[in-house]
Amino acid sequence: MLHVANLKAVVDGKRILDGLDLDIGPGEVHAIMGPNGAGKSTLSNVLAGRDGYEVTGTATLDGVDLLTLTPEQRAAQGLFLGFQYPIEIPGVGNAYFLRTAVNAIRRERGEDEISAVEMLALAKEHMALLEMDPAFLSRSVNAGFSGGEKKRNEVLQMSLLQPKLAILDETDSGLDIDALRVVAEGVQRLRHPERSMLLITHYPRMLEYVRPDRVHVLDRGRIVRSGDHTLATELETTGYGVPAGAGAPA
Amino acid sequence: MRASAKLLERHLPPGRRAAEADGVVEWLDAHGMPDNHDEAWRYTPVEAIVAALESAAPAPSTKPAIDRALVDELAGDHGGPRLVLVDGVLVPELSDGLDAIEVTWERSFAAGAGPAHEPADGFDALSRLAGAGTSVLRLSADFSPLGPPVQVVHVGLSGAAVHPRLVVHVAPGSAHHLIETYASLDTGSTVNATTELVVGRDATLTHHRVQVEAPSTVHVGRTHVDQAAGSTVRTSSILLGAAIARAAVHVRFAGPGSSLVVDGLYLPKGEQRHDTVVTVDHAASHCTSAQRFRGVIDDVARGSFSGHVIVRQGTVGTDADQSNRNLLLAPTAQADTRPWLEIFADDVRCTHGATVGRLDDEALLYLRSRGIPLAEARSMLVAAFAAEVVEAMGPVSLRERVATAVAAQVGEARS
Repeated sequence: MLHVANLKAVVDGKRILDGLDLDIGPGEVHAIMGPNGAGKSTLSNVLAGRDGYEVTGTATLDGVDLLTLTPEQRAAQGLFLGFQYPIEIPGVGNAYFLRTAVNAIRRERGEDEISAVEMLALAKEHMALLEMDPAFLSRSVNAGFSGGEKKRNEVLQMSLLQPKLAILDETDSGLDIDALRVVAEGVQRLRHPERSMLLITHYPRMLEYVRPDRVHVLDRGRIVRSGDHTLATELETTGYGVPAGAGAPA
Repeated sequence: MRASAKLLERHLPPGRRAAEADGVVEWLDAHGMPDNHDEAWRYTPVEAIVAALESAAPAPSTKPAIDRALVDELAGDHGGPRLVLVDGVLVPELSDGLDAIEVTWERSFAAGAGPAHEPADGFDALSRLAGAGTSVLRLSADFSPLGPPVQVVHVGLSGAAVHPRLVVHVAPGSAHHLIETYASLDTGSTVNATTELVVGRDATLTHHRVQVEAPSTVHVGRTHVDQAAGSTVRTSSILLGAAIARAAVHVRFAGPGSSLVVDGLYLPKGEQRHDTVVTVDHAASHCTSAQRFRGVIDDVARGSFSGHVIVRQGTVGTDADQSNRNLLLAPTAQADTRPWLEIFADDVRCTHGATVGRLDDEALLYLRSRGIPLAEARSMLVAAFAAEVVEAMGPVSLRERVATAVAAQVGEARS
């Protein structure tokens, strides 16, 4: 599924990722934890295709080289990034946005486009599971949404787009207990033998709902430790065992 | 020889000078044509407009070779009575529903004139002298306010210089919708257009002015609105076409308790120049005005907006708001924005805001990360930027035409 080898990323002359290796098999859920500035968000940005990084190394999804593709081509290959800070887009209706995205992906896959009516029904079905008010469909994308509503909207998009690989960048941050439960259950529902996930998180609480197959500790741009789900609990009591952010820029 | 004298010699019909000039020739002699030193013409390529008039032929007197299908294609049809003017002359055979409304075609520029006012500028003066005639439309209280809009379509056909004048009287207490469309074939027309809207006491008028002329056209237009007490006006100016297009909107509150929304879009691309100049004259108390203009500018085009608010001495309770936002789609595109507030009264609430920006990279990445191709993502963001103005337009047929033009503004993808 996802194969990352010797991945390096430099921004403004600073090396943020420094030879990162990571392999996630089909259906596996991996978590990446680590101190601030370890390079967690850079990893998700580089995989999703954000501009501004000098990138070397390998990153393939089912054998397809991701690094040469545009962000939309990566999405069409089945990559989904749940943003740490979902972007507000005033003037673009959420329902229209969801349908445009779903149809763009369906077109790429050679599938029929979905009608506005079908889309509405499908979105409402998924929104009910996420305890989202259907009124969010008629609002602008994320505009004026609370932190929790934005994260639910991310999980909604993921569930509609049905990606092969979902990278969730701190989807659990800024959520109260109830919102965390709803979002985590939403993620858990999307686990599938043919769908892999990479959860980037500071906190082990999310991982109590979505038990990962592997947990990795990222520090100064490389993976310094890996283990099973018990590693997350251990880290909560012992810390990362490295000075927070040492040597790595935020 | 001064430019104004040259233009008069070229465009004034024989015999008009003595018979109907009524002091306008003298006004033009005294004032001449505007230039970039005039505040309201600071951003207008005024020399190029004068040059276009100097080289353009006067309108032909032959019968125009055009059919309804072409008018529909150029201007759309939004239902309701439709006046069609070709090269500045009303053509009844191409028009529809003239018997449902009170409309006359007069040779005189003074026909149906509203409250007397001096020429706004040399182009206005020239249009009074050189125009083929004036369409005078009287919208009465009888004509159904709930019916479809009254349309006035101008088609530039021969590549001539034309000076169409439209005077609209909106009867006291009535409510009407008027759509003006300026279209042309790509024959190099020069259009010097005047619209005068005289809105009666407690009347309501919605007015859309849509300029969709061919790329070789030069357009200089003005809309003068006179609002009696208690009236409500919404007027929009949409600049889409022409090589150079200037739209001036001048609104005067003649009586108290009136409200105005004046909004619009300008979408220059290629080497186009679009200039919008709005003046709102709060000459009466307790009036509310809101200006809301959006510019989307691409390539090496330039879009300009000047918003002038005058609050006269002795008035009270004025509420004037102005907003102008510009989106530059290319590093070589240019925007000018200029609020110009002249306030001679104390009891005033006056706000203004202006921005010039680019498409939001974060929003683009967000859309693209969901699989939406770059060109489509750009188009979505541009449509969202213009939505505030576009969504307020009606009927649906007009809104969709404008929305399509906005979408076409972002044809090719750039990363």
